[in-house]
Amino acid sequence: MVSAEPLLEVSDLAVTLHTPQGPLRAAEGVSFAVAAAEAVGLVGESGSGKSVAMRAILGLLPRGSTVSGSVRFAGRELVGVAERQLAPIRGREISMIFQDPMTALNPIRRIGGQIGEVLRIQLGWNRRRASAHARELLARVEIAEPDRVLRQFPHQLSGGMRQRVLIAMALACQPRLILCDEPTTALDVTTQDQILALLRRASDESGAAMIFVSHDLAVVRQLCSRVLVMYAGRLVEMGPIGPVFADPRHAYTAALLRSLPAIDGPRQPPVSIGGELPDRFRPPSGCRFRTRCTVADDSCASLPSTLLPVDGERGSACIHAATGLPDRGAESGVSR
Amino acid sequence: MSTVETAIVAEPAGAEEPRGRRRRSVALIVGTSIVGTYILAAVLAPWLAPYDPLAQDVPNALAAPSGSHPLGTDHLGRDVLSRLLHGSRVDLLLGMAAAGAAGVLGTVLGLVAGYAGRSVDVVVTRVMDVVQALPGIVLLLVLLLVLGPGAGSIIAALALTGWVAYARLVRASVLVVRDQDFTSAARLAGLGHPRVLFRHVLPNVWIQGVIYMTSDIVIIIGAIAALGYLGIGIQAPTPEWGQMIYDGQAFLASHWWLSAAPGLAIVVLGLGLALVSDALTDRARR
Amino acid sequence: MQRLGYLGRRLGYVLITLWGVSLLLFVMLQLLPGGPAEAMLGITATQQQVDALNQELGLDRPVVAQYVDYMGRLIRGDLGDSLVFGRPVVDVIGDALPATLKLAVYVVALSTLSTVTLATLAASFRGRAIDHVIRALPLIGVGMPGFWIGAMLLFLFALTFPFFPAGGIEEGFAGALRSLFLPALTLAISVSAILIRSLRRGLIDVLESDHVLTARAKGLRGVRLVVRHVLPNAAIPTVTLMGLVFVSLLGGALIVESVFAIPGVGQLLVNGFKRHDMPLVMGIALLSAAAILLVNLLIDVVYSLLDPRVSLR
Repeated sequence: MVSAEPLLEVSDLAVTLHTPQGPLRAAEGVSFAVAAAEAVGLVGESGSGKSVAMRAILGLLPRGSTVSGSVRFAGRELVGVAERQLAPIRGREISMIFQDPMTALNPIRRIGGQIGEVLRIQLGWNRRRASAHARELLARVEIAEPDRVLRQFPHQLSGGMRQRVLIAMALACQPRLILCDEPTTALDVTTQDQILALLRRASDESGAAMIFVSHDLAVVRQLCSRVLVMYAGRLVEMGPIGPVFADPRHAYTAALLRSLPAIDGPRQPPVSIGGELPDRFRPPSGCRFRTRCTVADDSCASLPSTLLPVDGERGSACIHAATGLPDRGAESGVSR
Repeated sequence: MSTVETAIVAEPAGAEEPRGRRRRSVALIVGTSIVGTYILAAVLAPWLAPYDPLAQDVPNALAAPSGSHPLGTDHLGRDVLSRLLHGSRVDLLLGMAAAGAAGVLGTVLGLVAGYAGRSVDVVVTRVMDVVQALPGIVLLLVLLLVLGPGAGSIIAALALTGWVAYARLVRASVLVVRDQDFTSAARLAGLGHPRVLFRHVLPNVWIQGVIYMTSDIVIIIGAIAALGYLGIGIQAPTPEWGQMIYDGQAFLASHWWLSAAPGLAIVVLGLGLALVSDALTDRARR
Repeated sequence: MQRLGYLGRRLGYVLITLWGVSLLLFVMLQLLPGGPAEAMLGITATQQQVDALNQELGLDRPVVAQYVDYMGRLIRGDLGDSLVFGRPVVDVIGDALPATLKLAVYVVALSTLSTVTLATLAASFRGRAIDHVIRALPLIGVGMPGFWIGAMLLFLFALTFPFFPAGGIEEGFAGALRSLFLPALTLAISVSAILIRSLRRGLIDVLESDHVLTARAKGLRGVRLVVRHVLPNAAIPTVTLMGLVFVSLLGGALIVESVFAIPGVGQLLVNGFKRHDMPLVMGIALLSAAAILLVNLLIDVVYSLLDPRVSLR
């Protein structure tokens, strides 16, 4: 493609975590791009490496982790760069919203100070100006009585309120990219919907690009125009939401879609994916999904680890993708 | 068992890795070896010491370390090594006796406070608050004024100062154990109070007490030595480490080892006991 | 309002405990072998002298009357007259207090500095050599008697390398800073031994917490991150240890003053003990108990200010 350079370009990203059981290859061969103002979903089961990949973009991995590959953001390389050079980007150009709002705020500092802090360190604003803007941000994330909330401590707020605060914090410097790491998973269903609506509106208004990590396909479909699917540390499929949902080109995506309760179309009982995630310390050779896949054959054990292009904009790591999945759309093979 | 321990041990378990566990057992071995060596030295002091610790040899005073006097002689010509070895009898014995007495007193009062009902508990707890409101050394001095000089007085004063920690430990454990099923079952079976206390409650708490005691001995020996240093502990000429440090301090500039040696003796003993205490704490958690 | 009520109740508790301490001391006085007067005057005193002192102190009256008198004087803030100095105990202690207070403030400053520095170093390089060294320090430090550390520092930095005076307390701020450095360092070593361990644990817990990740995602790093989001949170559990530390600090200061010939309350106590100056020893005991109880109350208040989740009730 000859379009302008993408906002974010991740290529061959690999992350090794240091665990008590030894080094763990949490993500590898991850390559994708995000254009300006685009909303991309990143889905996969827990433990698929999606959060690790997000944290690697901003260099926020746990101690002892090693990263290889490349992350280019607006022309700058972010992998292997000193903390000193990453810090001015964090919160200002790329901000991040974490999964658990209950623990993501500093329990002993006031909300106003925590929001104002990002403005003060990243934009050099003084306390008064930062505080005034923090109030405005709270109003923008639909918090009633922002003046009161500014003076409160996290433990005085509900989970939904805290997540709104964290979103306000992420929006504060008008970043060009917002990384959302399962921001609604820890919330109850009603609050989830409100937060999702808020996020969609916020990204529309600010014009920021967004990567939305979730294990929930339905959420991603609501919010994003494109989707990336991860399994056991690798990207297995990517493409525009519509085509991927209508016509998955990877057996894992197909299985994920089947496990989703249908919102439109004929009602089918949700089907869970059989089997368990493979041992992360000794993953199977070739396609990692083959141990649970209903269409796997001998050739799947020697598959290239990269996404292969399918239909231009789409890609799939399934060798059956080009020929089409044998059970695609068929009634048989849904579960065995 | 486990509930008692989790109730007592405030710090979360430290050994996350097998490597840490191995290091712990090494620490236990090193610690017990150190403490064992001290006990051996104390027992065998009369045979190990090359000289009589009290024998003065004034013409040969303040001799530098040499073949005949490995640690030199003090200002009265007494052999420092011999005094150090005999000092271990005084400090170690006194320390263990005082810690033991404090442990027994504290355990009894803790059991009583935890088991005998609210009014007794309030009184004992108040007394504990009062004792802990005074710095140890101050209470120690006040008690020694009343009890007069002598080893017996020192042990008694240290016990009366140090019992509170044991009492708190035991009381807290009793409160936990008291409400557990097996105690009620024992009560239902017709066992009387003293019997329940000693057969069912005490076995559940004594390990904690012993662990605390290993670190308490360090503090108590420090206090004994401090008294000796201030000239109000064990009376001269009995060899005692604190007194030896004080005696040597006048000659620090020229004969630093006179003060350094007895101090090091205390530090190494403290290290050994701390290692044992740490390793035991770790074991008890698992 | 709620906070005031809490403070009122806590102050009541402090007064009750202080009353307990005074009762304990009164009982001690009564238990003195041969009575207080004889103990004070020593065995060489004649019966006449003893009787005279007994009458002067009102010790020839019934115990209950003595107690009423004792409490009455305590409530008026009268701790009696020192036998050695022949002046009110309160005045004698008041004269010695500045030296001890200077030392205490110095120790707090030094130990805070060293604890924060070493614990932060250990926590940020955990598992590395520097961490192991720092973690081993308390094991050694806990068994080191303060007076011995003092004597060794004296030998090293006052006698062998004469950077600091060998004792006493010099005039002026700079003089006090210089002359009190070694005694303060002596005490700071034992105090830090307790605190480093606790703060290191707290720091590691906080460093791994989610809110620090959020702060880093906002662009905080280095010293600013540690000072704003790590240390205050990590300090909370350590603050609860401060009461314990203050008691050991006070006890240690009394002995270290003797090592360095600092004319403070500790010297007063030791001399009072040696010369059987009962009113002086009792007065110091009562005042140190008051100091400990008030410091503990202060620590609880500080704790509630540090952690908004704690409410004083």
